[in-house]
Amino acid sequence: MLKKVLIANRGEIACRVIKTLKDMGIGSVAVFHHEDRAAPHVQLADESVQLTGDVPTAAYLDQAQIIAACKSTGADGIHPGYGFLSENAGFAEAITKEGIAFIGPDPDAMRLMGDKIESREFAAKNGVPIAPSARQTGSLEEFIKEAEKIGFPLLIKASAGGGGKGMKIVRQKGELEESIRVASSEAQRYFSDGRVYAEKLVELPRHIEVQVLGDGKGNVVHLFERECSIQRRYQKVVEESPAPNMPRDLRDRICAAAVKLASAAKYKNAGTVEFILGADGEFYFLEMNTRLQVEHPVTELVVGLDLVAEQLKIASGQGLSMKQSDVKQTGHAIEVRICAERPEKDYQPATGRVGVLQLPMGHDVRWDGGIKEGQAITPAFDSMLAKLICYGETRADAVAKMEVALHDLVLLGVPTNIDFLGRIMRHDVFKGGKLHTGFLTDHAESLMPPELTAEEETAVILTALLGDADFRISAFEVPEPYASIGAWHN
Amino acid sequence: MPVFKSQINTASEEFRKRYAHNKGLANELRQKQHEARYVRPQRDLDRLAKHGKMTPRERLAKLLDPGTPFLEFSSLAANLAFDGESPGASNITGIGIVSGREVVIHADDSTVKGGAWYPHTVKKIIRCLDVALENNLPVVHLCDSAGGQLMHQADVFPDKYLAGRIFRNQSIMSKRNIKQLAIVLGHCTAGGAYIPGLSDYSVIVRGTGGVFLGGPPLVKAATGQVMTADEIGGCDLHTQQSGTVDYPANTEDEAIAIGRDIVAQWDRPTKTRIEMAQPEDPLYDPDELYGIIPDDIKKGFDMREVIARIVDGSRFHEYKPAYGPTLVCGFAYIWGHKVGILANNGILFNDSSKKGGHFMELCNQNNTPILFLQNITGYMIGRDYEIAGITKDGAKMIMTQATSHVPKFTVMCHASFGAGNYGMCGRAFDGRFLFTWPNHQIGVMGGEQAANTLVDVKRAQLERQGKEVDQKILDAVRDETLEAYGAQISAYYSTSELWDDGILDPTDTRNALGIAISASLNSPFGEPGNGVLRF
Amino acid sequence: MPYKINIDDRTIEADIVKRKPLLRVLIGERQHTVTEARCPGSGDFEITIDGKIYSGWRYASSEDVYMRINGRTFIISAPRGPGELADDGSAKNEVRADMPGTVVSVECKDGDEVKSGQQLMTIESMKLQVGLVAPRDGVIEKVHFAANTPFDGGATLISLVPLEDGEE
Repeated sequence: MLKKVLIANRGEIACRVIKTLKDMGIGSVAVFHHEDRAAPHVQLADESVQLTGDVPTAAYLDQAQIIAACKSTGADGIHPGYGFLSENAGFAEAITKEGIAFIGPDPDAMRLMGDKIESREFAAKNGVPIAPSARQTGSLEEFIKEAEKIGFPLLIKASAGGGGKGMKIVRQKGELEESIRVASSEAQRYFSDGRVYAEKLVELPRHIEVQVLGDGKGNVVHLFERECSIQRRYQKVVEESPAPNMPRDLRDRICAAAVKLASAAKYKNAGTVEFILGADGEFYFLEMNTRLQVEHPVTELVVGLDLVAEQLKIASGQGLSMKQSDVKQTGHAIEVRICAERPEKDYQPATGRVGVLQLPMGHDVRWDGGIKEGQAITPAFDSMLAKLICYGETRADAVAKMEVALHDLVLLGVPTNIDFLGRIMRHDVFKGGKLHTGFLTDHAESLMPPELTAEEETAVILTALLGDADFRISAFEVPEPYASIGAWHN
Repeated sequence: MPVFKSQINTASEEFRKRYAHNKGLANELRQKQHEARYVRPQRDLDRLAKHGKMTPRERLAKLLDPGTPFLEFSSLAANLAFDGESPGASNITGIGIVSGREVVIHADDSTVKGGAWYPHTVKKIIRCLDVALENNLPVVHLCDSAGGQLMHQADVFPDKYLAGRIFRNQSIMSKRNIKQLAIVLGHCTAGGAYIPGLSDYSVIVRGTGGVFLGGPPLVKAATGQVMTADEIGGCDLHTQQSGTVDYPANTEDEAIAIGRDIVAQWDRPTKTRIEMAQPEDPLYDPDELYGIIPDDIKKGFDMREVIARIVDGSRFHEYKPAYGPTLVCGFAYIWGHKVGILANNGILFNDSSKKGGHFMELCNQNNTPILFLQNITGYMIGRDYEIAGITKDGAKMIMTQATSHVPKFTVMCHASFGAGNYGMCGRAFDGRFLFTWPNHQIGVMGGEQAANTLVDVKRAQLERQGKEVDQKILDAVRDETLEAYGAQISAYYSTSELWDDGILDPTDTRNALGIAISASLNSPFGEPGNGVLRF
Repeated sequence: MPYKINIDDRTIEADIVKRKPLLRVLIGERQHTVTEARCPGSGDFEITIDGKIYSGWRYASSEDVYMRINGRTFIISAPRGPGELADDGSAKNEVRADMPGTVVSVECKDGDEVKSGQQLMTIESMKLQVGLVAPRDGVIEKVHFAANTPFDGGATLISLVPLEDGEE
């Protein structure tokens, strides 16, 4: 087993990884940029090393400094979290060369799955269904002809990236050429790789993903599926496991497909295979993420495993610690992402300070946060502040618990989406479990904050005034008999 | 403390007659006050609005804490002078609450001849600064004046208690750590420039505010230069270059908001401790005062009935009730403050004078402020009384009263004639506040009495000269005297000349005294001890 | 002077009407009675308005007041104090020297679009170097002094293109 692990990340995921390290008696090293010097992950770790960078995110991407920090602290493993260097094959190779374990997949798997076009071809070759698609092998005209064959509506996607960048929906033949040009130049700008491909656009798609663990020798187990259809701007907002209203047989087939893909790639460590599931019951491979994902806690609660612990075991050379038949799904878990943003203003990111933080209590409530009271929320980092996860025996139970937890959660000092998440939980369609990736767009109106009632407005105004020092002096410290005489003039 | 049992029959004919009379006087007072406070030529109001200036009462409303009382002094100052050219003597003074603190307010009224200072204007300012000095109350000045009324300069400028006294008072206040804020909302010219100049804090409005020892006309006359008021002493000059004024503001609203925040910085004093109780409203309705006060200056009434309608719970502890019955003495609470009350139920005799003196000594011993409710036509005269020592007894009462170290308050409820005015703490005796009622009359003696006296003097003179005693001459003397006295003994004349701090509607007396007593506790009481009592 | 509270796009005025025996506040057109008022600037609060109890959490930043009442979050900006110091508009079109000195370096040029607070020039006076910043967002009209040139006290070092009336 590894003795000391450096976490090349920050925020909630760094805190979460450190927690497992402590549980397992493994030393922890945090790295931080000056702006993060008071952050919780720095305080939690056994040791910490400061990194420099022109902008704070640059520090966490600085491979040389991180490797140096590893060496100086004697760490024998690096956990990259998600984002930052977690899917950087070059980094994985560099540290492996230094004799430091990379707690994640091999560089080859990263490269294969990092390339959208290559990974789709690999999937197809291994019998994993992919959406009808076309890619440019010859001239633009040929590409357009192949794309038309898919049928409309279709999607133009960037080969090298995701998150909605370099993506264009095409509903008619006439728009096709222009869309390809625009998507390609956007892809070039964001990913330095202008390659695009065309894919069938699945209507009312559900985003279903499968958590897998591999030993690198072709043995892979799946830890069942997660549904992540509640998204805004192609970023997940609410995730849950298991996927609601999914026939067992369909679920088994999707999970089997994921295992097939991962074992064919001789995948090592934790990864997630993402699929698009259409209303017609057809599912297609989307991509594989070769890292631990943000929403991994819902799987952990439902299968009863610590995924970071499993990652550490695999990285230490111990292989898989379970058989597929050992893995059982019990109950239901939901996760919401608490973000510093204004959902009612098109999810505009916000800044401020964590002035008041009161966490909800409960046996089945889990808070994965990387913030503490007094912390400044700046544009330097991602707007996700924390994750709130609830477990219930049934989905209805989990949703009800999440409603209560969101009601009890208090985070004041920066605008957040907490109220918005509560409205999602109370939404009839969400409660019915009929989800698809257009949910937030379709129901945007009904998810807007309700108008303030006159009574609420009065309460808000008086609370604002009564907490103000000047108002309090005027209201309560006017001397007698003036206060009792009141408004009078001779 | 026992509750007073009223004997007034509110259904009686006398009560109804008196009520109608005094209610009429109160309405007349309100009417006159309203005119003096608000009625102005439209062009003067328009001129103010054109320059973005508020009226002084609008400014006052924004300066004072909402929902708090304002005790205004002498609203009818100068009402019988200068042909009514200067309503309220062209300014507003009083005590109010700003940012939770008791302050004295002095506001120029630029809706009256540009706020120019008449002789009475100056006297009223000095009076409010005297109030500030005597009671350790900070002052907020709202400055907006065209300067001194040049036509009246002899009564505005030269003497000891004229304009210079304003600046002397300001300086002495500052020395005694009594704070002053000047909010310059218009011009502060010539001497007036010293008001912000001598204030500890000052704010000025850009554009309309100006502070200069000489304004544009004077500068042009003296040096030939033609400059605007802003160029000579405007906001930016004084807040950026000369440092004469501390804070600039773009609008009057902003200037007043800054002023309120400045006052919010001032430390709140520890007040002198006196006996206090939980306040309670009088048991009897103060409205009944209208039916108790007589409609004739010669008629009397039981002051205890008046007391019962002013003090907390109508509770009154009467001192020495069987002795000297023409002077009622006793303890009560007004808005929770314990006070000792001396009130006239007739003229003063030897026994009542002695009782009054002794009672005042008890109040001094007990650290209890004293309230004088006057209805006095004089001390008893006559040989027997002189043998008994009425002059000495009167002197003892005056000596004790004048050398009291506790705060004194006077309300002239009806007659205030002759030496009785002195013993009962008239204006000259440094009471903290002095108020009157609309029915009040003041003079060395009543008009009738003066007329009779002067007619007798004239008759004696004619007889001595061996002339015929012509009834017509005697009638002329009578008429002349009555006319002169009639004009000069009324409450309105007194308040016009600022011999008092304002006429009160009798039903306002309780609130006015509550505020007055509270204000007076901001300064320490004097040193105990009295002068030699002529036994 | 009434308090002004901004909720969404509306401004509502509130003022104290009476303090004893109970605090009464006028909000808009209606009066409300406040009995209990445990309400710190930051932390949990409990107040009673018109006989009904409201409790929750409150936090005030320099700009806004955040409140959480019954599981709902409210953010309003309550302007406090008399506002910014009322300086005269002209200072915002010029960067002037307080005392004589020398220009060390110029970090902008004529025609540049600059942001409020952006460093435009470094000067040295009395052996002390100071960075001069843009007083507002705007466009550089003219840089009047080059590097290594001396200037007098009160000199205008940089002019900004004046704003049209009504612009902020």
